[in-house]
Amino acid sequence: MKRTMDTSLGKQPRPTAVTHQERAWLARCRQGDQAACQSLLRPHLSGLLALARRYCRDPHWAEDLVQETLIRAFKGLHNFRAESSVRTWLFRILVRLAYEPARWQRSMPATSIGDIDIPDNYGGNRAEQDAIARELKDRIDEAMERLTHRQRTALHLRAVEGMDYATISGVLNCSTTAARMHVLEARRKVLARLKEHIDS
Amino acid sequence: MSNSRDSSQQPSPQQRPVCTRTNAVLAVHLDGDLAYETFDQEAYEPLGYGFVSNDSLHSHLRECTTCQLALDRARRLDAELATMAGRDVADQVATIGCSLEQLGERWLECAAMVATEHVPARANATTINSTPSTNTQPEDPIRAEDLDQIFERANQLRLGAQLPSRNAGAHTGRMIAFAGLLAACLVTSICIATLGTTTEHGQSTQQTLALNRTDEHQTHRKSSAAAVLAPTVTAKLSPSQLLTRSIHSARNQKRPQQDRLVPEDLSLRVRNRDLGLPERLAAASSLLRATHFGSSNARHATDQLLLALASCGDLNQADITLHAQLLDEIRNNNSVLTRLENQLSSLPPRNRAHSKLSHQTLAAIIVATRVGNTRLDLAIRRALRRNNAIAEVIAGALRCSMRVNGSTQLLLNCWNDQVATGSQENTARWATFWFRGQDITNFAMLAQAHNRSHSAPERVRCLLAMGCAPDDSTLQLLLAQMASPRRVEACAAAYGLAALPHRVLKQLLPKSKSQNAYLLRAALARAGMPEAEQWIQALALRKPQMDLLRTGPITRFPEIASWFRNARLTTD
Repeated sequence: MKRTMDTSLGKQPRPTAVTHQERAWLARCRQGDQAACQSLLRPHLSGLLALARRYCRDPHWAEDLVQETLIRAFKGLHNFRAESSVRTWLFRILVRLAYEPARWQRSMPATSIGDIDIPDNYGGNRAEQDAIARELKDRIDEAMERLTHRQRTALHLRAVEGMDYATISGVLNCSTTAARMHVLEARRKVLARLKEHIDS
Repeated sequence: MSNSRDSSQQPSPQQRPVCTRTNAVLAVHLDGDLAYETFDQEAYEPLGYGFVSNDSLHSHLRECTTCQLALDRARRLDAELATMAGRDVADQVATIGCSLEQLGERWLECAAMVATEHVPARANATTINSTPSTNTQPEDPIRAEDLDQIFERANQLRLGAQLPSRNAGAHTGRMIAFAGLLAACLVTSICIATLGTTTEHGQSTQQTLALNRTDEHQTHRKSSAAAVLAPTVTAKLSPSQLLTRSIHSARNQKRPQQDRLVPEDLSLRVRNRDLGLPERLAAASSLLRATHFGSSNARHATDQLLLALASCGDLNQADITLHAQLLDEIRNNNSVLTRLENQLSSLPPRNRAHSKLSHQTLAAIIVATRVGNTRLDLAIRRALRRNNAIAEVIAGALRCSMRVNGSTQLLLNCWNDQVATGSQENTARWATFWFRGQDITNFAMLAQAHNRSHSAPERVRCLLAMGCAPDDSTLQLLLAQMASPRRVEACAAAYGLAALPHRVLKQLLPKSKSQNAYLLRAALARAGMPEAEQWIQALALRKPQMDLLRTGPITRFPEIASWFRNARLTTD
């Protein structure tokens, strides 16, 4: 039994369009207004950093990745066709860069003991809770790292950024169905690895 | 419509029950997916979707414990992921020591700067030629705007039947001559027109021919044409004289020298100690203007500014004034701060083959060290952890006392980082490395740092560093710490004391005669005070012991102190 056909199935999705405000800022950006560029990009920085942290354990690398994304965004603003939202566009840049670290990593990470900042508030009553939380975090991180690049990105964008499937498909440059399956498959795999830890 | 599995069956421990609708439930109830209304069942079936409607999914979820559990767990996972992401970002921002907004501001500024560096510089009316000029043609002092305005004014006054368009004249020189003639005619006609109608003839003419001068730069650029129209003189001259004068004036118009200077020239002028302070300051000011975002080739100007600044010292008052003013300017100049930070963050690791530091990198490190900005201090520490070859540069840069505050803390932090990475140790050698020759104010700050520190190794470092003081400013604190109940710190204080100059240590000789002052005697003996020779002779030390006394590490100092303590006991 067939209901209405989904025309987007297997094809490029129709991404969310830019808002009026973004359109106005874009127009000003193209006239060389740096302040407008900053207003356009600023709301998405924390999201970009969070996704960069998902890809890079080293915080300096994560910063580098976000910086490189912003640089590409600034350079590409004039060619941005506004067919998708600015948010989708920025995340797409970051995802592509993350896929090819050689394009933005300047050097090997220089992690030393001095780089590790140990918070002062470890210990006390919170120590046990923190230990449990850290263990769960480590397990989730491990499970997420076992996912494919697309699955990991899709699940992060869905769970953390709250993006719908159409937007995720815009970021990953795939069909909406594929985005949906990436999210569901990623969730299934992660939960399978976490087993009862997530229930507790 | 009951194509769900019976979820009441007991699952095996190894395998959880599977429901074909779980994916659809998660997609709709967790992800808010509405596409189930429009999908093609055959296409979705292999992917885990069955044909379902909204209502049937609701009723299915109420009955199916598998889907309920899966939904519950998926919700928990999503929440956990979101919490983790938020915590990661917060931790990162906290580590950097600024808010996310400030961090974002920096990123955006940096990105804007880097992105614009790749855009070819547009021709703009900056006061500096940003790149060395390749055009050998002398620039015509009468600009296009001037000609336009002269023509416009002439047309308004209906001088001549038909004035040619500016573009019609191919030869610029001829156009200038024509403009000069026109200007002369204008003045003459206006002088005639206004004669007798104004009391101050010159003033009225000048007002008529103001040529819409709006600001200083515009005034300067247009003065080549407007200068010939000075009414007090022109009223007495014939048109031909005016023409000659205008062309002559236009050709000999002197523009400020800095207009023709490229950043390299300006940088040389800033560094040139033979020039007066006002000239050097003017060059520095022009260079600073060229570093702002949006200025063509700001990066080049910034690099030149850093080179100039790094070579400034504190040799004389002019240098100090210039240096201090420029550092003040830089502290408020985001583009320079961002550039400094970028240069520090892109410093290559030491183990790289091409890790030799360039002049530009050295200049950036020196200036960043002297600026005294929290952001830059963190960047310096990161750079130092990557490449410890810059430790000498940092210590050297701070020996020039241009940094306003925080130099002691930066030195201590750098030393601490190097100890943490295993490159250095808490010994007098490294205390000398960091603190010898530093400004006297640093040693007062060391006392404060020692008092407020809760870290024993840091207190030891402070005590060792106090021994590098050139005067007696740290003497009392070191003496007091020699009586500390913490043996390591007492030894460190004695060790630091032994590094003070002899003229300072001389005042301690009376105290050393006290019975319990064996640690002080050990310190004075280590310092090589002539008065300590008698104590050493009494100890009858052999050569290895003498070497240990003179050059032994701090870890062996308790052993040396014990000799003096036992000697006192035997004497008694």
